Amino acid sequence: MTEEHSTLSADTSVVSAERALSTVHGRISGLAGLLWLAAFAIGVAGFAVALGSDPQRAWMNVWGNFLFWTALAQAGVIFAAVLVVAKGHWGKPFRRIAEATGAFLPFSLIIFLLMYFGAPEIFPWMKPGFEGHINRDWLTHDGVFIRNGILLAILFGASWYFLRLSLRPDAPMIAQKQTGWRKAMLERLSRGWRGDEEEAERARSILAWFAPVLIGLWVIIFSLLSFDLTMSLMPSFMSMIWGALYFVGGWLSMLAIVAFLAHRYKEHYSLEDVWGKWEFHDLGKLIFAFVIFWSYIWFSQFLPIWYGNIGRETQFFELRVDNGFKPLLWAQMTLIFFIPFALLLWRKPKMRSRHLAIVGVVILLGFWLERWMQVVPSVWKGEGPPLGWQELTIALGFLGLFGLSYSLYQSVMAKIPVQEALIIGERSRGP
Amino acid sequence: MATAEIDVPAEALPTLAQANDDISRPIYPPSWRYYLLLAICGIGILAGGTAWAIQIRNGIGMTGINNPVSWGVYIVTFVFWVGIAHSGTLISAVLYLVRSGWRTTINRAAEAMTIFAVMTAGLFPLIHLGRVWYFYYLVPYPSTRLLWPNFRSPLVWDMFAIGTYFTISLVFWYLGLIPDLAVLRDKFTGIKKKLYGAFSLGWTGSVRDWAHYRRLYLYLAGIATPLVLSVHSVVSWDFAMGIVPGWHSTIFAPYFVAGAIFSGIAMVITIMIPLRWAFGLEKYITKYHFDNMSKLLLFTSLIVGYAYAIEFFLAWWVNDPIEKESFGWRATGYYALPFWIMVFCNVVVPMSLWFKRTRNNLAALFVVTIFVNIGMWYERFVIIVTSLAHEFEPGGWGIYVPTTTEILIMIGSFAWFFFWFLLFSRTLPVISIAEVKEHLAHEHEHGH
Repeated sequence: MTEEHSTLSADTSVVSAERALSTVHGRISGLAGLLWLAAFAIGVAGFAVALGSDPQRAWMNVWGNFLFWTALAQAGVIFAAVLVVAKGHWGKPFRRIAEATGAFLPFSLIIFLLMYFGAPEIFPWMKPGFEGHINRDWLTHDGVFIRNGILLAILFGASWYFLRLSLRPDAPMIAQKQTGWRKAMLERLSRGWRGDEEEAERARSILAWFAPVLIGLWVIIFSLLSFDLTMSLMPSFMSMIWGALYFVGGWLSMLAIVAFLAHRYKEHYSLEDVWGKWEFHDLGKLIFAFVIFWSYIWFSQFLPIWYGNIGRETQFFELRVDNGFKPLLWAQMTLIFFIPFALLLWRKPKMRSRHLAIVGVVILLGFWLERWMQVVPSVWKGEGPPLGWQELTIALGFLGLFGLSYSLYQSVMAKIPVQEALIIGERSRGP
Repeated sequence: MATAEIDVPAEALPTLAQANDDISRPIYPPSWRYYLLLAICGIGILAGGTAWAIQIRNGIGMTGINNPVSWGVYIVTFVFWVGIAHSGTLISAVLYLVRSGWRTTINRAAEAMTIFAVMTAGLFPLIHLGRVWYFYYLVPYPSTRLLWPNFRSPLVWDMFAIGTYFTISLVFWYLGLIPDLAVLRDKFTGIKKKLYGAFSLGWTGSVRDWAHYRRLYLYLAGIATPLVLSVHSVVSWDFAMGIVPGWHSTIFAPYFVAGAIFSGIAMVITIMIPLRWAFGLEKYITKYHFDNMSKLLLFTSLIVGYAYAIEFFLAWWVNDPIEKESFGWRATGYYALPFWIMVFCNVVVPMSLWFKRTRNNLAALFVVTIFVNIGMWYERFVIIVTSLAHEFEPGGWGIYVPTTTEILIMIGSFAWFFFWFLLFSRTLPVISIAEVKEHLAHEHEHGH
């Protein structure tokens, strides 16, 4: 079986299997693991203390961080699905980096279920004396969490099934390099291997219909999630582009983190030809395009609301320019649009991985702020934006949990596809 | 029209010389069929033109527009044609930038379609104006009478957006034509040689020529790409800036853009299928191209379907009585039939494109795109008319029914559009010879 793998990959893959296998860790580095764990522990402790002193503040930070990391993690799996649908051969070097963000999804579901207990602190429509249009048949405490919990479970389950299909061709070869639970897991993943040709045919025929279905589920479920979790924070507010702003933002955050991680891996593994300047150029162009696209849909929301000047709509922007939030709104747009646009307008910066990684970090900060701003100004009634140890520790906790889940996943798999040709075919099959 | 018919076997790939001959063949004297089609278009233009002339003589009362429905078939058809114009830039610029090789054989016709669709759309603000001789009020110029257009009006934004789009599309189209015009210059003699020679700007095909050409093409593609977003966004804001229920929506800009690409791609397929047959271009426009166009059609149909669903869902979700009444009436009221035609044509029928059998069957594909063309016209009708007919006050509700004048002018616009397209197909290569030869050279070198 191994021989078959090697032969096929030598013929059709962009990167040889041996080089791809050289990126398999087999463990999490001690320092990194410790740092992630420490960050997570600080987050849990910060949340616990904040919960005792100001539960609303604790929960609204969980809300914002959940929205940011969940959208990013899910978009990583969707990136791979989009490459399958669009036959995007250019993205092969980034595919595994993106897919690995899916490791956060199970934690995301657990956090979502825990948010049930914080909902009375956050949702205005759960408070006594609430006035405003809201559909009580749809928005109930139990309803929001049971419905979205089931939908997220379906989406995350589908994502894991997709990852299983995507990773299966790599599993037998990587298993030989691993030991312990990692080896057992990979062997389970490659159980019943039918040979390269049959596996390739099977994977392609399933992914051909499953990848678009997964993308469709993502669009629908994330739209519904954003309506319930954030749009309902403002009485009678309605924006039809709201769902798209959320999932497209998640997509752009994912591209940003992929740029950052690819740069780190390139430096670490000295695989300059895998993550070379042309690969980064392509990724940079995609990021640039989505910086413009996300800003375009943001503006498409802003303009009719500003022009229409209807109170139930303008409250969204009023809340974000009053009470000291205005500089944060400008910071958000500067980090997501103005800086990346100015830097990525030129060709060379897109080709330099270090440069693109910096832009990626800027965009990530922007989207973290954007998600936080989706929640906090609508909920917070105190004076001035709440920026203190609560925000810092809870954000650190989420970062730690994401880092842990991502590192754990990456300690099992390769950073670049070992048998990519099996899944999306050879370059000549595409455009 | 069977599946196998649109697949070209490797051994049937034409040579580069054959490509020159095959693609430029329609430019030679055509058959009687061509003149018949031209005559049909002429009759359509005559009918539409006559109706417009009578309307100018008798006034705008010839139409069905009234209070509250002050925008009718003319604005519906205007938006429809602007939408059709979208595919040209998408296929030429966006797909060029993302290196989608399948655009090669369809970009020229799509670009031409863009030009003629904008020319058609541009007629409707004039027709709708009634007293057409006052058209210059639309143009922002420094009038000595200080009659400035209102720059906060989206209608003025339209003027700029569509004007820019037309200019860039025209330049882009012409630029792409230059190497092909040189091919025609070398094939013809006499006055034709002189004309094609003048327009080919002394093209020699040297490395230097190609280097300049490629650079300019890339820059123009980069300039044109944002226009795909801007033009129909601005058209959508003609509606979304008002606070009319059913119009005032934040999703309108991307939704209109997706709808425009949807209708544009449908029209490209509708035109390319008979064109391919009539001019014997089966070797150049293959299963590969139709399959990809079909997928794009399916993708945009899903976006449009998402927007339809979100509008209804959020009206119910927010429980706003006016939003609920507006959308409820749209689906069940006087205009329920147009609404369901729209849903059937734009959402239900394109779902057949999930199946490869449909995508690879030209007859089926042709029928699907006809449905989409009809559905997208109805979409604009539903958005414009139902929203105006059923605003806030029940006392102000009304019904609009198009008159024969409006229908004739609308039909005339189709005739006008196809008339120009027919002239184009006789005068210039409907497929980019240069790009096809580049593709063929690659195929011959590396195998099919």
